[in-house]
Order: sequence, then C-alpha cells, then structure tokens
Amino acid sequence: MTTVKLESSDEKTYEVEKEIACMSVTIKNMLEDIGETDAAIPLPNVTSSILEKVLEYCKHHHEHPSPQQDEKKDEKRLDDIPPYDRDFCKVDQPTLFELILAANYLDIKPLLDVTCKTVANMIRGKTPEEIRKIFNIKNDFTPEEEEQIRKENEWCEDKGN
Amino acid sequence: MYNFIIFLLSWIFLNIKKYQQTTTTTTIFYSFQLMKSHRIFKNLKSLLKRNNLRMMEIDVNGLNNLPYEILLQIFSYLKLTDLKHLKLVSKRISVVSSEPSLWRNFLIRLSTQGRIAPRVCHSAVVYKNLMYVYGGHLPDKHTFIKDVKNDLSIYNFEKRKWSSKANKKLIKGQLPEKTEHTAVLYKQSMYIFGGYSVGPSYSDINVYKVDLETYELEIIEAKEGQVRPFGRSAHSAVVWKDYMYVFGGWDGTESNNSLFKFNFLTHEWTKVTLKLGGGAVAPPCIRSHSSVVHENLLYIIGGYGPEGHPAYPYCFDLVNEQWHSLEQNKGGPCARSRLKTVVYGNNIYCLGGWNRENYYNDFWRFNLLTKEWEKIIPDFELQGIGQYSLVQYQNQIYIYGGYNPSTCSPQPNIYTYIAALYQEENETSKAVNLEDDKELTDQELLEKEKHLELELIQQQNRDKLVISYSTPIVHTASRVDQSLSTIGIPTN
Repeated sequence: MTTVKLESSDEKTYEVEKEIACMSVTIKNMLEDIGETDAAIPLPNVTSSILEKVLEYCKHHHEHPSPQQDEKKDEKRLDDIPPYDRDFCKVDQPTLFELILAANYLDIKPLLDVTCKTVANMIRGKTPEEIRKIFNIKNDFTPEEEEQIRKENEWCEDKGN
Repeated sequence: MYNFIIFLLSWIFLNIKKYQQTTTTTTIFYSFQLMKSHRIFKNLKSLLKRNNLRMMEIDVNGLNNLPYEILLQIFSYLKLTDLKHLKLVSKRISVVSSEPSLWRNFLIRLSTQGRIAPRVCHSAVVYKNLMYVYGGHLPDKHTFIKDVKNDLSIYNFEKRKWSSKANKKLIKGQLPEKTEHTAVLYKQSMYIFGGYSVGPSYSDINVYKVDLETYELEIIEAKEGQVRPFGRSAHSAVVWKDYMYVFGGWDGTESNNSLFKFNFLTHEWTKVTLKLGGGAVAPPCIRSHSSVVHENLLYIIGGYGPEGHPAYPYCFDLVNEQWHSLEQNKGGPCARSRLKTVVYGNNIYCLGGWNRENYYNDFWRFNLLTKEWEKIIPDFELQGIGQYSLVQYQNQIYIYGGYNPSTCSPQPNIYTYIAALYQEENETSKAVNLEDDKELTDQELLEKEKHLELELIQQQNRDKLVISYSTPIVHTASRVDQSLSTIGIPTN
C-alpha cells in the first residue's frame, strides 16, 4: 500500500493511502508532476481540522464507491444527496464554507458538489430577507437600488401560469 | 526571483478576477495553482516561510465572501424565483446571481403587456424589433381544428408588449384565415404560404406578401401554365438567397416529400427534382416537421409520415440540390412531430414536440459543427408543448403559443432562452439589418401609426370607388371539404 504525506496549514502531517489522496485532482496532478517522494505535500489553504474532515469523506467514498452514475441523471437535482453525504454536511456554516473552499482547492468534485448543494438547499424557496438572516448578510442596497432591482426582476414571471 | 514572479502573477490574477475576494489566501491559492504546473511547488513551503504567510487561517466570513465561481456553482442548483430573490440580497450576491449563464438553465416566462387570442399552429416572423404572429387555431383537444384565425398581431421585444391592431393597418384587403401554414421573412416582407382554412381547405396556393414597412398586402397567384405547387399544410418553408423552399406537408389526403422553390424576384415556382446517386437519398414523406437553413444546407428535423417518424435529420444541399441523411446523428428530438426549430450561431434549437402519444418538454440543441445533440433544459415548466412558434431576436430565442397537453388548450405565454451572452457576429443577414436600422422611438412609432391609419382610410375610400378587396382571392372550396369541416378537420 503506497502512502503519501499531506501537511495542513498548521503544519500537521497526515499519512494517507495514495489512492485516497488522489481523489483530490490537485494532489493527483502534483504527484504526477514530481513522481515518488517522501516529502510531505504542503496544503497551505487547508487547516488540520478541515483536512481531517476531507480525508474522512474521501476514505468513506473510497471504501464505499458509489455506483456508476446514470448518464441521464439530472445533475441539477437537489434532492439526490446520499445519506452519508447529507449527514457529513450537517456542520456549522463556517465549517461548511471551509469545506467548500477546501474541496474547490483540492479539486474533489463530489465533495464540492455535495457541499454546494447543501448551501443551495439552504437558499431554496427563501425570501431575500430570509436569505440575509440565514447567512448573516448585510443589506448594502439603498432603498432606491432595491426598487430598481425589483423593477428589473419584473421582466420575467415566475409564479403560476 | 520566485518571490517576484509569484507576486506579479498574483497581482495580475487579482485584477482579472475582479469579483474574487482579495484576501491573501486567494493570492496564495492562485500562485500555488500556477506553481503546480511549473513543478516548483516544492519550494512553496520555504517561500511561504520567508514571506510570513503560512499558518494563515482561511478567511471565511460566510456566503457573501465565497469566491465568485463557487457562488455560481451553488446558484446553478436553484430555480428562477430563487435567483430573483438572490438579486435582492446584497450587491455582491446580486452580481453573481445576475450571471447570464445561470439564467440559461431556464426557458424564462416573460411578463408581457397585453395578450392576444391564444392559438397553436400559427406563424411568427421577426422584423426589426417586432415579432409578427399570424393565423393559427384554437385546438379542440389536440385532434381537431376549430376557430381558424386570420389576425396579424405584433409583439414588441423591447417593450414586451402585444398589439393586435396590425390587421387594421393592412392595406389592400385582409389576410385569409389560416392555420398550419408557413410565413417567412424576405427583405422587408413576410410571405405566407399554404396551410388549412375552412373555405378552400388545403387548396390555396397563393403567396400572401405583407410589406412590413407599408403594411401593403399583395396576393401572388401561381400563374396558369407555369409550375404550381400543390396546396398543403403542416409543411415547412425557409429562405435561401432569393428563394423560399417549401418542403413536405399534408395535402388533405397524404404526406409528401416534394420540394418546391419560389423565386421572390420573379414570383415563379420551380419543382426541385430529386437527384439520387453519390450518397444522395430521397427524404421521407412527412408533415409537421420543422426546417432551418444554415449556410448552404437546409435541415429537416422531426416530422411524421407513412414510415413513421424519421429517426435522424435530413439535409438538403442547396447548391447541388441533393438530399442527404444524417444517419449518424440519431437521438435528440428527431422522432417527433409538431416541433419547431431555429438556428442561432452554429446551433439548431428545438423544443418539445409530440411522438403521437405524449408531448415533450425538453429543450435541445444540435451543434452544426460537431453534429451532436445536446439536451440543454430537461424539463421546462409545462408538462409538454407542441405546435408553438420559435424565433430568434438578438441573443435570445422566443417561444410563443402552442398546445399545452395538461390544459388541452394553447399556452398563452412567451418564453425566452438566452442563447448567447451577446449577439453573435456570424448571423443571418436579418440580424445584420437589425443593426443597420435604428430602432424606432415611441414618437416615430406613433407618427408611423398615424400615417398608416391615414393611408388606410384613403385606401378604403379608393377601394369603395374601384373594387372590393374584402375577400382574398382563393380557390373555390369543394363541398366535400366544407362538410368535413363541420365534423372537424384533424390537425397534423
């Protein structure tokens, strides 16, 4: 079993099965570029706590490979998150966003998809005010600007038939 | 040395990615991505140490501060209503949720001013910033034709406004009732051909020319002793050079595969003879298909006839006048009828259709370069649609009317699809003209309308003195057809 060493931003080193580490396209490309190495791969964007979560996710999916996805499957569906992934994403918002950034940086598509879908589910069906409240976003529009956007939004209808 | 390169590259990246958060973290991220490809990442650690940049905690202040691309991905899972709500959340979220690529996941139902009588099997042509909708009928379930229309209505794309007054503007007579006919644009006129109407049934072979600048109506009769097409409905008509090509359709008894061309300059018809050999084929006898022209090729998509639905597109080489089958390009929405197509850029766009059992609600694109089908929207909001009209104006595609199987009636809305972010350059001459002709201002439109009304009154006065134009010249209806029409003529 080949292993590789990964080093988090807070300088913790993790020894991981190469196949698991290579679920990250970024790491896979790096390894292809440098060949065999004993040196730890620095991941300056990922803290140890997040890296542990990411590795946990990769390990699970490595051990439980998901069946080949149906080609016709609609990728835009929000209700198709597998149970393990759904539970995995039940974390506080800062952790969720850090997971998204890590998945994006490490280029782990399934993790990025599932974390983004989780956020999308939090937005779906909410009013602008509710969205601001959920994500603690400050409304930086002037009332005039807001009115302008409401007018712009009128060009399409989205309710009823 | 590396130090300098990295900071230089970071600086460039940060300026390109104007929506990207300008945190040190992202700076490192992009530098790192670059270095990775340059096989110098090994040096990163020491480099980071030298610059005191390691141990950086990722700066996440929540949704509002996620990178642009990530927000785009999150928003890509959402519906139109959610995007509209996101536009009101904050300035940054508003910018991301306005990204046209997100809105291209939908056929967007437009909010329009005014309505016209709902219909199916009408025609639609675009001239300047207006869409001219003519004829059609009210379906009796999806099987029978009733209430065939003769009105010419106008939709203004810029104002998103309907006007049903175009009929009154017509000079020298009125248009006949027609459905399952075709209308094409050549220069500044709309040319209507074929279709079904209660009186003459399928036998009308006149071409009705409406000058869209003057609203003058001219009825071009196919002259005796010259080549004449036979009457038909549910055919297709396209424009190439100075010709209108009419293919296939239903003559009241059967489907055909004949191809006729009408010369806009001489008003003469020619029957295009079938040339076989050298890989050329005979197209199937079909009706309720759709056709488009791209470069020197006429494409036929869908349709139905004695041999069933064609499983792939057929294309007619307009220069060599030969038919070819695109057998390799099965799939897509080919095996359906009652669908329409439109070309934009290098793609043919196509929506829904009917397989004689069910209506579809998927939106497709046929790439004319790769010859591949791609389903771009799997399910737009209606359960299915057919017999609608499909046109292109600037960078958008517009769908109007058509049969809605869930209500067994025409759907009354206009839907749009944003086909490109900006108007593509290599478009038809129609689009080029659009840019040349400046759009009329409200004042100009008003004046033009007044002028036309005045002309109309003058014309009507003249008409009273000379001859009545109240009915267009059409072939006499046969008794059989009239009796049939009382039972109900099936729609194709």
